[in-house]
Amino acid sequence: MWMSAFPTRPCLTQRWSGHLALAMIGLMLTVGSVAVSAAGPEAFEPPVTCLCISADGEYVVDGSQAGIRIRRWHDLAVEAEHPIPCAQIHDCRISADQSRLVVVGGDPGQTSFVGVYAWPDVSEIWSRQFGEDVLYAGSFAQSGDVLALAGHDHGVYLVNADNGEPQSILRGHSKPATDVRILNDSRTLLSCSIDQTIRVWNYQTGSIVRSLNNHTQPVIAMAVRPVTEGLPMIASVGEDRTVRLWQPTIGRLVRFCRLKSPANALTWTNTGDRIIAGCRDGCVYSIVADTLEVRTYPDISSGWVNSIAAHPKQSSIVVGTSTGRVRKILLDH
Amino acid sequence: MLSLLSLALLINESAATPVDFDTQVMPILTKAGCNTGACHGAAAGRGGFHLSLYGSRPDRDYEAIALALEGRRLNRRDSAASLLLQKPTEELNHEGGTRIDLDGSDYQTLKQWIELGAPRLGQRKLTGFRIVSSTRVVHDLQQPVQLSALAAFDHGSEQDVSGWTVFTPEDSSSVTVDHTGLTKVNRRGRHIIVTRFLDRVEAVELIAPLEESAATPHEQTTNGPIDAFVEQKLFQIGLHTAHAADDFTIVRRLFIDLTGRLPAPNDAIAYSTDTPVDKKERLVDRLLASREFTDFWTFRLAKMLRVASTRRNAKAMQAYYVWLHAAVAQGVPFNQMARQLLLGEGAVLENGPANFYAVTADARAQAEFVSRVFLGIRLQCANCHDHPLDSWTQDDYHGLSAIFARVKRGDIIRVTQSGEVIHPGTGEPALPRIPGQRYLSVSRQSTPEASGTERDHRTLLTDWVVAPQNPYFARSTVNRMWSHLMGRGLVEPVDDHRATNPATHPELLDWLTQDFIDHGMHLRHTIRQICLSDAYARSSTADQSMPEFYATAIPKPMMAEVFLDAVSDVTGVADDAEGSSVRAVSYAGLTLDSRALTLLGGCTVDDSCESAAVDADDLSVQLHLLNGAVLNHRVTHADGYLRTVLASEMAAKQIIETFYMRVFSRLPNEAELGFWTHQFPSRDKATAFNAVAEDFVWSLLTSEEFAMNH
Repeated sequence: MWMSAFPTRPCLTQRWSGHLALAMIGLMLTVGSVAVSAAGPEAFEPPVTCLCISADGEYVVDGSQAGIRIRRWHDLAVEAEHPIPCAQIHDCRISADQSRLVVVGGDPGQTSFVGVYAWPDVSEIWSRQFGEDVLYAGSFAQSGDVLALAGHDHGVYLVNADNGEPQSILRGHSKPATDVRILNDSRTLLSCSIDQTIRVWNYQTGSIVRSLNNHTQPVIAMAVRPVTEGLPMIASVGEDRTVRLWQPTIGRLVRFCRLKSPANALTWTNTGDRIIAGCRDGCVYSIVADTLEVRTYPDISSGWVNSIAAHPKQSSIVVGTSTGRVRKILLDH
Repeated sequence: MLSLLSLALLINESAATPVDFDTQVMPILTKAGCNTGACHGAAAGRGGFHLSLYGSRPDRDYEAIALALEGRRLNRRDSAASLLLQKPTEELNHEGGTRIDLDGSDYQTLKQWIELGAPRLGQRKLTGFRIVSSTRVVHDLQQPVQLSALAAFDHGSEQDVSGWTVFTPEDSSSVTVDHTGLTKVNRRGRHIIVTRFLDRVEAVELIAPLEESAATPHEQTTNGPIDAFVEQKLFQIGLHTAHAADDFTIVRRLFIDLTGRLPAPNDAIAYSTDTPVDKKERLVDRLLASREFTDFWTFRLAKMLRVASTRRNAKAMQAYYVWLHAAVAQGVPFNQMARQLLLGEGAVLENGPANFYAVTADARAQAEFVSRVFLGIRLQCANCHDHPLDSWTQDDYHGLSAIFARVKRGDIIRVTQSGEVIHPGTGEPALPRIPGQRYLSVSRQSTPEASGTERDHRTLLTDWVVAPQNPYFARSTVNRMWSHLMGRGLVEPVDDHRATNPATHPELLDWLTQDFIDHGMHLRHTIRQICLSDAYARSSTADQSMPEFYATAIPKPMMAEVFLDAVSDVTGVADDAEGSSVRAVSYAGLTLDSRALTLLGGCTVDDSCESAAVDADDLSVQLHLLNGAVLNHRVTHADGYLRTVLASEMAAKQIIETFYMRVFSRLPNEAELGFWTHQFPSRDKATAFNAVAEDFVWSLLTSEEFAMNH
């Protein structure tokens, strides 16, 4: 039902060579060495924290503490690696016009990082560090002139996407903001947070429009439905194990369902009829938006599914896991 | 193969021993205090970082440390840059200060764990934990005691884990323990040190005798096992026993403890002048057989079982009280009473025990009620997290609650085929569970065809609770009786039995428990055993600085109801609760509202109430006693006993002696008699004489000696 790829890549540092050595020992000592042989090789990879796919569907970008890697879609082989000058990378996204890649993260407890790079060569256009903690998400406006950022320091930042100049800070969340999205109406910005809310903002005025507070645990991620008919719709997931569908411009919770495990990441399929959620039980769940029928893709990872991206043309997704793997999954129809 | 292995080792020699998260990383965090209630172990965590309290849930803690927020707390490329290391070493600002030494071995262990990929290996499981002490009796305070913590793991090894064990003295001014377990006792006496490694807690008792050879074995006058155990401890601690109380004191003590009443003057005098050597035995037996004993101990149990009338439930509570009174009168064994209560159902107006479920709001409250009353444990901590000072888990708490979830409350207590409680840890219905024991099979869609025990898990629970093998039921019951009679539980508080709150006399508690079981769990048997001991009969006038050793009797404040009845007996004026002159200890079974009792601090209806004594430190209570109607009204009442005495032309000396006997169950000594005689004017000054007489009685009733059972 699903395909997987395990691209090999060179070790990045001497430390990784040490890990490789231990892994080899573990593989050889097949009995009694519970620690190393079973979990060793997979556990040494840093978690894959973000994924995005180019609009032509040819490339996958993944981010982790090891940096940014560009992979070919068809076999997920790494074509290029780009170190990023911060300890953590939490999000990467390509602008709608496919000209820029934004990477956000930072050094936990110290500073945030946002870098905008030319796509696809990943040459730096600008980068900034500010604040005292990391950014968890970045999102281009459809026009490409505004970049919204969600910060651990509870703030939602708006910066000029061309040069990184700060424009405004949206304050309202009482705990770290975990994700941010901008609707195509050039007005509405959505942010979600550990504080269990989704805030709807008018980012042109900096005012809060409403707060969607039906989640009963931290809200981790959101995704905007890729269709243009009718009112905009988003999906959100949280530690309360629910997937909730909203019409944020009118503040309506359309419907929701509860999964077996909290989700860390979600995306809509390119047709906009299903939501795909990557969860902490190592499974991926496909939810039909209109009926909430759930299909399970089990055993994707022995750890958490941390990141997810849907192919723009095919019925496939790619997921990144806490054990450092990137896998491709062909979805059922 | 060998060459490949050598090659691998050559690549990185430092990649050595794997680090186990559960048994190596977690103890470091616990020892550093990271997961205490004041830090990240708080219910809401701290600084956005939430750990389970004292590391009770390593699975969740692993997720919080290694996985949450996309692994932000660990840096896999540069382990030293991980928040997990930078915060506790204060390389980054940390509200909790420096918790881990940058140059210490714990730092290196954490660092190594991160460098090895921060896995959760599950290499080994803790199977045992014990504390070995170089000595348990500390004679020389200058000599430190080495406490060593030994942990046993499932693969058979035992490891000294003193360096990762938390040692917490109950009184940190009396005992200091360093991080290796080296202990210094600063003050003589009995000291408890609570130790914690992973999810195991253990209490260590150290005794520093007060004086060497203060008591010697040959001084002991053993009157039976109770006294043998008490005196053994007294010898160990180096305390002298107080002399035996005099007959007047004993008779008053027995009457109040067994019947909740003052002895009549004739009873006190008769006992003091009686000569048979078994006179105490005969008095105890007489009191145990009396109607007053039944009334009083029904009252005591009623308080514990929440037989508390309100307007709303008056008739139901009467049914509850009548059943309880009959059970005590008939000497029904306590395990049988408990069985009837735990399985109570039916109409609350007709079936007394059914009300056991009518006095709580829901299944969780019932679980807490049952655990306190019948097991002597406080399970409520485990509602939100595993019990930090005992082995009770959230599964135990919510599992016990689930057993009661199918009990529907109302005019008729009945067990239905549905009902559940949600386990907050899982968000799913909790599985019925006998605490600390096992899960019970459950049929979510219970049908009439399902077995009886499956429909009503209370049967299995009840079998476990009242079984002689149950480690809590009989033990907590005898401890309550001991506490009532001796003024302090062997485990104190009486509803807080746990590993970290050890009995002062564990062997004595074991013996009392077994004796109670061996004699059919009859309350009267154990009460008699305790009352006939020498420990019970000691004087209370000696030094009370270490009451837990029972070298002297512990003066016990009268319960509010007993106090009120005693005032009524002395003054001859009954409490006028809504015009009904019944004894205050019977109010529980009646729909009576006593203002006097309210003023003195009776129990509320919302909780089990086992020792609501007149609070001598409560200013409002004292003001009411000094100036209020509770005493003044009764002392001066036209139909009161004082008026009768004054009308009889009794001389001052006789009045003084009469009221001393009524109030204190003794005659005044010379000084007291001289003092009071001097206060009284001559009889021909009637107004002044009567006024002094009133002041005299009022003075006796407001004295500490009257308010205490000493």
